[in-house]
Amino acid sequence: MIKFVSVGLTYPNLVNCLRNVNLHIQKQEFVFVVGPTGGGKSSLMKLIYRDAIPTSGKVFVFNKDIAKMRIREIPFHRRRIGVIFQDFLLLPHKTAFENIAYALQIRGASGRQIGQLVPEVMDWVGLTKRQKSYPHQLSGGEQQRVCIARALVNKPDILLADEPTGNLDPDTSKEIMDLLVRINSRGTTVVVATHDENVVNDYRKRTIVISQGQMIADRTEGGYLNAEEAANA
Amino acid sequence: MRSMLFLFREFLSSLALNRFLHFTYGVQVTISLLVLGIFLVLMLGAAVIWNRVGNNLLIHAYMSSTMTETGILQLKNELEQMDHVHDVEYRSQSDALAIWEAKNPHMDLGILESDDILPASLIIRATHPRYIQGLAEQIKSMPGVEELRYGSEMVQNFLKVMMILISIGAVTILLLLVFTASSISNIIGMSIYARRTEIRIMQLVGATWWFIRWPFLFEGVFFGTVGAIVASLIIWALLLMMSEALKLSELTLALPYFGLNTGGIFVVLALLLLSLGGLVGFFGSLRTVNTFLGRETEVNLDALRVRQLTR
Repeated sequence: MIKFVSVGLTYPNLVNCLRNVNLHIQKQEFVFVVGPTGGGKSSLMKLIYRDAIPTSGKVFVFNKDIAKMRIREIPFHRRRIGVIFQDFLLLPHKTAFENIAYALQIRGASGRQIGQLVPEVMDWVGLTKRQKSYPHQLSGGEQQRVCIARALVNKPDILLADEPTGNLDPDTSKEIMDLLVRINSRGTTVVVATHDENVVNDYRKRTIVISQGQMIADRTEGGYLNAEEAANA
Repeated sequence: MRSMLFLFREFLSSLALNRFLHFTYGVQVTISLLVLGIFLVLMLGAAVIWNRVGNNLLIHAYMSSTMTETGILQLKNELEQMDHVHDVEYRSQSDALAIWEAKNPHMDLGILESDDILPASLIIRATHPRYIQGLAEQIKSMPGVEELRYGSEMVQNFLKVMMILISIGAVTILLLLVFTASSISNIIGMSIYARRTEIRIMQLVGATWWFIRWPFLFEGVFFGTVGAIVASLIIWALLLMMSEALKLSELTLALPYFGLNTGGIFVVLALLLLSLGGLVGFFGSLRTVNTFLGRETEVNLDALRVRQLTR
């Protein structure tokens, strides 16, 4: 589903973000991408949802070379990928319901579809009673649930979570991670970029370690950085 | 269609959310269009005066008393074949006398017992006032032409000055259009900055590039047309006040377009301003949207692609 072949990414300011990354993520997999801040985790995510293209090597998503994708194809590529961030990215003047409906509205969904799909997904993430609340009236965990619901409402094949628990306390982090695991169990491929050691160690999922732009480990049994990796990071 | 309605509702709610900010934007565009509109009125007025004065400029060629009517009519035919001649009118001696008598009813020339006291003449109208001087030079040397009279030097100079003013006005209007477009561009630029989170969300959930651009294009056209409507109404009020003031003075005779046809001037102006406002709004915002949104997305990606190809 996602394949990186000798991928390098250098930004125009000549900062090397990724160097010779090779990886293959299968359909329905749950993968952690771990490593220190600035190590290249977010850049790896950006390549998947085509917010950047590799300066060397190739990235295939849904069997398509993202570098050969035309500009007008990008929106349709992104409709198959849900993305959530540490800083939530919610519209402050819209309610939780409206924020989620927004993702459907830009695809031209009808009022009836919105009325059916949004309550369904809100129920699924546990926000049924918060439909009319504005973001500032929601806790951090609830805001992240709204983001997850917005990402899920389009029924994506891949869910990318870039530091989804970065702004949350441990209990709420666990709730969000449980939710992501549930999403994965429904058949969605989930990629979580994090530097939260506890989260990675608790869930024991496949873990890819990235440091200074290089993939230094790919552990199917999971687990955060070992002593050697931490020393190299 | 559903998407356009959604985008239009989003645009309206964005207007309502930042009322004060949008009001100041509106004032800024209105002032630009108001100055533009005032220049348009002056230009329209100058064009009307130029045409009226220009069309009244005629060349009177007075014929020698030795010329027969046949000779004069032959000359008339020759003149009609010349370049830049619109039409030629023959005025016989008796016609000239009749016109003179009609203009001067208190003076009796009957005592002269002759109707050949005034010379016959040919009255030549040029296709454009700027050809009068050249035509006059050519006609003067033609056989049978005794004397030539045409627009005085003062009128010619007046036309030259008007031409210069119209040219300056046209350049000023172009500059004002550029200024209005850049005002709208700035507004859209600020609007894009204020809504960057929304744009980012749109991009992430798979909005097409046009879907992201439309609300800003609505905004540009909205400010352009509303600014044009308000500016037109202000200019209309000014024209009414001016025409009332002019009616009390003799200037109305000198400047007939002010005193007599304010309504016509207003309709032309309103249509011009509305079209210009809408077009400048649309293209001003399109340019900004392409620049700003392109800079964050396509352009960066293209730059990366170039680097990849050169490796």
